[in-house]
Amino acid sequence: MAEKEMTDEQREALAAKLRSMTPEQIAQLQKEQCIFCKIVAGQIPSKKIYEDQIMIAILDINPAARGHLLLIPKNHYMIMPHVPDGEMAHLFVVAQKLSESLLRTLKVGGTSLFIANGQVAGQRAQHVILHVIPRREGDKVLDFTDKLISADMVHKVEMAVKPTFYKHLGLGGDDAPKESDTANAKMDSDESDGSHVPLEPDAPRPEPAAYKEKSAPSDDVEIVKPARKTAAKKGAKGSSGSANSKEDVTDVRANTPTAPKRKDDDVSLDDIANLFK
Amino acid sequence: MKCEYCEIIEREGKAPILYIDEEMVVAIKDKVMAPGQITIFPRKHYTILELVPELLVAKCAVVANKVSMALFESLGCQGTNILISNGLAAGQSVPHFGFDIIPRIEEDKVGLLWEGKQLNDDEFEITLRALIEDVKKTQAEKAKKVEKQAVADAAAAEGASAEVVGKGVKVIDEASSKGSDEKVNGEAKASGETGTKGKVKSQSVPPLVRNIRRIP
Repeated sequence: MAEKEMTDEQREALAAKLRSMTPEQIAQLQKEQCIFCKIVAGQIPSKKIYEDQIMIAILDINPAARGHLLLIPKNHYMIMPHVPDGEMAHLFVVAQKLSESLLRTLKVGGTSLFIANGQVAGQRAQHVILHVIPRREGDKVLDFTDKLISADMVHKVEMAVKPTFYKHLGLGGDDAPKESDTANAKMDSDESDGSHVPLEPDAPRPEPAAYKEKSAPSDDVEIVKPARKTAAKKGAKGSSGSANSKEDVTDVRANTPTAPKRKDDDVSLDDIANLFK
Repeated sequence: MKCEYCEIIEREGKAPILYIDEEMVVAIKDKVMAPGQITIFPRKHYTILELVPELLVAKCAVVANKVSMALFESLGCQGTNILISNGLAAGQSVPHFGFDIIPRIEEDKVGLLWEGKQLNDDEFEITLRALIEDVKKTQAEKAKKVEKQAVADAAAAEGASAEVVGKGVKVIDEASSKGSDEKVNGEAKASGETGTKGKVKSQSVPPLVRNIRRIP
């Protein structure tokens, strides 16, 4: 999947040209240059095993293992955040089916589903690809090592990620869910305000207003049962209880609030359920 | 309960839960490939991918993308990986299905690579044929199921719901012609309420494809 090498001159010329183009023109150019778009269009031959309106699945010609599949959305998306939710969901549901096909036909003991998003993550193509790779023990594919991180670090991650994550889910506005139960009450008032600060201009988000009209606030309250806090089962940890007790794994994680109320846009998943009946 | 993920749900205090609802949990484990790794798993104990209902896979996938976006913004990472290790051979360490979202930065030594192999044409041919066959068989079986269901539904739902079916079909048409995910959401909700039976319209496009497109 190596791209053609360019001389410095050519690079300069291209950069100048890009600067003068509109975003739409640039997008069009990317699409024309994209090997995978060409594969989708049939301009480059491929070993295709599945196709529908949204995506194709082909065999990788330089695979990690025999049967390595590339699931490619027909629309040109350079990075994963650009992929609309519907297509993302579809890719994975088809991947599930194809993974099952791999298990059946190749008689392997497992599969890995993998997306590399960004060059440092291993993305080599300018097009979002979902890999479905048949796995065998000791195959040296997608090797990784787990490390134990400290409770402090876990807490830092939680505090950093939670507010942004909630914004992307459409739960709550600027106020990050704080460490107490009062946070949930605050979130409720945010929801009923309808004052959502749209973040990513290109992130596909449902129209909050539309959903507000269709379901009363009380529906939200009924849908979710807060996670029950059972009697603290201290003692045996799960498989992560290894000997590395250098880290201070205390049980001081009082920060987890009870289950946040589901937001209106989650109601759409109910309607998916209906469509599937 | 021995399963680590089920324990997370039960104890809640051990691994911080970013989000939880009736179907799905988003949590931060302490045994990770890189700090900032987030795990999404179904609340119910499904061991492998193939056993998880499609709906749930769809939901987790959408949320995984959102987690990935959140990681970029909040942790300042330069890339993310989405990984499902499905089965022991794939290195699945917890017998409970999950999605892992891993933040990546340059020179983080996380790994997650592979070496491409050169296979000969015969091997490709055999694999290609076998997979195409299997995919065809699966689709045929599914089509049969859908047809059976449609026949049963139609027989049961004559008369009063005929109008509803008509409405449902109309909404689906409008929705698909618009093409933009956002606009479709309003209609998706409406069609969900009224026209579930209307989807058996075009046999050329499997219902799965048409319906999934409308997830916001």
